Amino acid sequence: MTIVGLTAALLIIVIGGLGLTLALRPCKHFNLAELCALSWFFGTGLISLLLWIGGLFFSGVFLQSFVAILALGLGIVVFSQATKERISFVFPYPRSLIEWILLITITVQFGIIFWASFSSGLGWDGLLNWEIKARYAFLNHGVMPAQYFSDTSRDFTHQAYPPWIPLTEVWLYLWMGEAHQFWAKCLFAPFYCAGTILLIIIACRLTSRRWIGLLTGALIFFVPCLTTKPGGAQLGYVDVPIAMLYLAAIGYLLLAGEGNDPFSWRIYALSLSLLPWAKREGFVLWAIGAGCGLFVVWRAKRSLRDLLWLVPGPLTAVFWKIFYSSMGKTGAFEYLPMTIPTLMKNAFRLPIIGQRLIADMIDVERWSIFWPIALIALVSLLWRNRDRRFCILFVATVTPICVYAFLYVFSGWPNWNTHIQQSLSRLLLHVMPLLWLTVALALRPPELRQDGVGSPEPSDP
Amino acid sequence: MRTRAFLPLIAHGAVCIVLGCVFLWYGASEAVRVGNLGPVTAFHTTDKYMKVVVGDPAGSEHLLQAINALPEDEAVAVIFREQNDADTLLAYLVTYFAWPRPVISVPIDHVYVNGQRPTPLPDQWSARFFCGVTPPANLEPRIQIGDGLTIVPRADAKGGMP
Repeated sequence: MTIVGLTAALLIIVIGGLGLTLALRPCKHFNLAELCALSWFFGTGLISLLLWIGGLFFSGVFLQSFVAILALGLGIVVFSQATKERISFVFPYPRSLIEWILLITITVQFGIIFWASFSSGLGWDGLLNWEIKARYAFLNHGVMPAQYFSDTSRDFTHQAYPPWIPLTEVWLYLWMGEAHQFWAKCLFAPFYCAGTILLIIIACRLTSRRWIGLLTGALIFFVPCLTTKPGGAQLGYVDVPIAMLYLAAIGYLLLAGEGNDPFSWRIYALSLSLLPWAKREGFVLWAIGAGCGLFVVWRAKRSLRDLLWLVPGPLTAVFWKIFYSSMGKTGAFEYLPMTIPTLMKNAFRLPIIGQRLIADMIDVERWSIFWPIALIALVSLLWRNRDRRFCILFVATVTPICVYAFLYVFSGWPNWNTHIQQSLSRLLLHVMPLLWLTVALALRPPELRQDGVGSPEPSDP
Repeated sequence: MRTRAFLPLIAHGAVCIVLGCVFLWYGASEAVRVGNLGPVTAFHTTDKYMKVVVGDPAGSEHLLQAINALPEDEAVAVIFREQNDADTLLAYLVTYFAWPRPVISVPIDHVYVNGQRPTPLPDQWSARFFCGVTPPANLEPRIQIGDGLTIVPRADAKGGMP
């Protein structure tokens, strides 16, 4: 019964996400792998938002039915509309031995991530920041209990964090009929897989080389911080999902900027709007991504109406803030007031933070030599093409690192060094997949004149 | 001339291959170490933690059984050393399972500003959970979970011992 419920819950997530993705009106030939990957991200976002909104009015079976009917209805209606419009779904098969080898390698890696996920437990934060909320909501018939938010003895669970992941876990629990720490883990490996698929697809489109996309997708697996360390894909933290979502947002923004493609713009906007719903740091990423979007609108002379697509992100954040405040809490306690006197008082931390940042980046046990490679890729792109792509990638990858590092100046932890030690790697993870896109662009061989080397392959759907 | 035209391509390829090999060398040595699958249980994670911190592989079930015997509307007190990560984790696990009961945290090594540790009065809690801390010898009755977690329910608490 547990497995049947779990399967139903996962299917509804994917069907709801499929509806949302197809509602953004893609082109006639849609990549099936891309559809599945986007459906996973948007499906989890949709279900968690519906559970939160529905939870204001219903609970238990009514809440479950409300969410299921809306998600299934959206999926079925939009899918039937898409078939009427003759949208075809294609899977681009490998065209050479190298591509086959890379595809098989990536498939094996996905299997390993699933296995690793089910063989290890939830990490500290995975259990005590996220799953704990899901458990309490499940015990309260699917609704986050009001007294939980005002319970000071559970402050260590960070009640202020938005509930994208916990409410998606609740969705599984409602269908399984029990809070189940093992099956809750089946949510996390798909985020890694979906993100890697999007990395491959975006890298293929930006470089016009399929092998570069596949190679990048295979290499990302070997960043230890993503697969073995705290914050990794197998431990049930939100950092991998948020990193992949940010990759999707900026990746599709680059595609939207190149071809003035409205579908890519909508995917960018929707991915961006989910970031503040994932974690508080998501708002920082949203602001940077929105700034990059403004730049694209300006440079590509897009309609200002496109900016309306950016509204759902801050709207979600504001409504969550209002909801949280109405529960009797006024703020979180990790950071000191962000004022000039605090900045002046703690300015001495800046060089230490810088040292810690560099020490973390060159720690090969955590990152292999990823950061030196990313630096070389950025310098290479700066050398070869100082274009809009480079500007966006540079701002979207470097600014979050600077902002995150700067925020430690305001850390309210008694031992702020411990705060850095415990969170820096996980925060750096947020831009890591996007930096792989930079690496992919730098991997593209330099163009040669007249002899045909370096000319693009036919583009993939 | 043709060789000169290919030089940047050769240099680019060489740099990519060298960096890729070094990256894979370090990355593969740290890559996923796959353990045994499962166990497929509802307390998959907390049981693993309980086994590590108190040596009881079914610690979650035992802890939950003890907590369920306590009244839901009364708080429980958790006594632990906050400087000790294992004790802190155990205290958090008790808090995790204690819902919907409020939890009174008593970190015994916490340095308070006024130098005085607030001590919860007996009528404020239904049981005390000693996480990695040995309770005073005169406290009875006791429920022992593994090696490190001792529960001392208040004698008149509704439900009492499981």
